[in-house]
Amino acid sequence: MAKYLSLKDYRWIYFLLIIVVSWPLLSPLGLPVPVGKSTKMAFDTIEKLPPGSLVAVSSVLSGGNWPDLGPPQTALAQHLFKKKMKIVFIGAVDEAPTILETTLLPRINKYGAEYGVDYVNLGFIAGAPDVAEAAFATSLRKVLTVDFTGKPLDQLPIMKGVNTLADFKLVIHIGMAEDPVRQYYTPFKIPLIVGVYGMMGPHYIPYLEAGQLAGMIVGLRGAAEYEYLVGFVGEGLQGSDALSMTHLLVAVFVILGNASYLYSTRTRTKKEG
Amino acid sequence: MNMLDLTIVTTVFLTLCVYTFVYKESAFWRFAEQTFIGLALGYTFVLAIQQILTVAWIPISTGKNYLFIGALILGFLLYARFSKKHAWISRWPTAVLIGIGTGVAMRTVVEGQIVTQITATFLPLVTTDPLKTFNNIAIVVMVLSTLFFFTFTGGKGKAAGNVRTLGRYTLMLTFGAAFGGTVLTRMTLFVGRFTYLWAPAQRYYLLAIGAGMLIILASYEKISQILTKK
Amino acid sequence: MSTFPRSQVPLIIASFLATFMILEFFIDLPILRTVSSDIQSWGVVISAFALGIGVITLIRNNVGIVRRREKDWPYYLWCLVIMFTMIGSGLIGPLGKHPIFLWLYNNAFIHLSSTMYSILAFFITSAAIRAFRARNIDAALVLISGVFVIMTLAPVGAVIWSGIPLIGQWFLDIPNMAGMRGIIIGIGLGVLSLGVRTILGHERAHLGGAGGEKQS
Repeated sequence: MAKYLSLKDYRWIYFLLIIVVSWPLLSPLGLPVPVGKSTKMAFDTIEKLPPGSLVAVSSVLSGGNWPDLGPPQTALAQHLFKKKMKIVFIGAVDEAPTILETTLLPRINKYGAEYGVDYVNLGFIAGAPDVAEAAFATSLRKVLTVDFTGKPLDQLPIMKGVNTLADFKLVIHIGMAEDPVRQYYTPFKIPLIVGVYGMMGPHYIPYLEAGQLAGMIVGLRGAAEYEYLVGFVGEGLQGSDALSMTHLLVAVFVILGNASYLYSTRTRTKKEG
Repeated sequence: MNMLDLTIVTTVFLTLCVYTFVYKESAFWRFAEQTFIGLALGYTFVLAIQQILTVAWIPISTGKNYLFIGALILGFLLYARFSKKHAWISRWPTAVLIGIGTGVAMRTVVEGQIVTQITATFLPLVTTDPLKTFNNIAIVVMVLSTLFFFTFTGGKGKAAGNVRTLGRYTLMLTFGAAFGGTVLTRMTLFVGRFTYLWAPAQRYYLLAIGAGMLIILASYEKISQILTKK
Repeated sequence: MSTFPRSQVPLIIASFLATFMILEFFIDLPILRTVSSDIQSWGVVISAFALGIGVITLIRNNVGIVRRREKDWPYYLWCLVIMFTMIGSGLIGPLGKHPIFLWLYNNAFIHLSSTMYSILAFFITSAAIRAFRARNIDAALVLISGVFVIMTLAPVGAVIWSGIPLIGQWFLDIPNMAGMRGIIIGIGLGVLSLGVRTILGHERAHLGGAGGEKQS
């Protein structure tokens, strides 16, 4: 067994991975999606907001991280539109406003929301995350004079009377969590929900436990949970089965690899003894 | 070939070009790599121009705020780094960015990352629920031992060593959880691509283009082997 | 030439601005707030200029390779061609709205970008069987915790055995949370100390890479 597990040409592993990910996509398994605590917290926070509340959604969405951050933001946006919230989208990276327009918004039901009145895309703010988010939170009108389409903010009804983050009822950030905790939550104490990369989910549990986050959606798995709660079938639920099988493959490989290692170590020890 | 077909052919072809890397570094991969770099920088450049125009140029040209002229000058000074003789001038706008970034991070880090986290560690060590009691004690002990692990001065001796060992074990468990999260992200990105490729509109293009590329790569490898033997 | 403008002026600028941004946050004066928001806007504009440095660096590098006809030079030429196509189409008409620009972004860039990052899945899978070994107790703890968290984060874990998500969630909520809390506090202290060094002018790392002479 050890001999087969240490083959020098490991392309069979890649081929197996392709099979394992393709099979559930072509023939869904229908595995249940249990909802985690952090996702439920996020859902309940939005459910409790009165319709028409002003919500800011800032994100670092880009083509490269779309599979990880796109589904959480899509599910959250769908929920916000369903609950008739007023949504202000802002990008913390240059791709975010474009991908919002071309990829995210066409995939969801806006429930008759009107651009400029019920939602707006303000474009992006250049700079390091801390600086861009601080600028948005405290100096919105200075760093943003027009929206992504080039229309002056003064001509947009949704932006009337909006000058700083204090004018919002909820902030959602898609990306890392340390910067919005520092720049959005700490100065203004407004509820903050984050949609984070899968690999950062474990890192941000202390913020959730300390009450600095009102909810957290972790990658594709969190998006699947959120879509289930909202009643919306998006990339989260579509990819959930495939995600499960790839995880199972990695876990099995780790166990097999270590079993092989222990076996060969014991065999070598016996031979030497 | 209408516009829709060309779109799908392009997306599937470029995706598979990148994936040929795991088979063998090939011309397909090099082509995709350089295309990606060119597109990324081109896109970033256009959005940067847009940002400069909306934030600085419009207030200047409409007479609302002439002070942004200073920002434009500092921005252009960044490009002094390309001159060997005058590169030091680019330190000034860099210093502006460093100063703003440092101040903005420092002013909220005490409350956001230190005080709140320490406060949250003050947990009741005796409760009516035995599991909760155990968990609370475990959290307090592990947080303290992790912090102690990072102190490299003072605290010598066996007891201190044991506390540091506990801190190290806590960090190993933390890194294990981080590894689990990393697997989630990597597989999410992979599943996302294959969700697209296996969608009904794309799957036959995937099979056709994939088969064609594999045949080309395998043939090229075989021909290279034959020529090398000769 | 005097080192004052080369070394001391940038340190003074960084120190002054960092101090001002901190004081503005704690002193409630409208004039400070106005100046602070102007300063942040300047930072945004300068950052936007910084995005262009990559373009110039690429042009210098690739033009040199093409002129010297180095190995794989046609690819570098293609890189320049596609970059200028993207820039050209992006600057025509309303910025970033030209059909060619949007087509290249939606149908080439996004897909290439996603795929580049997704390649890592292959390597993490092969590493799982070939490299992740519990050679000592530390590695064993990493792997045990890792395997349970992997199976918790995937819905299939609960299907295999109901105890998997319970144990995995315990690993996430207790030792992981405690370890991360220690790390977060440590990072916070690190940010503070780095900031104090910047304000006092002891932090000179940002002076490197431009100027060429020794830092004074």
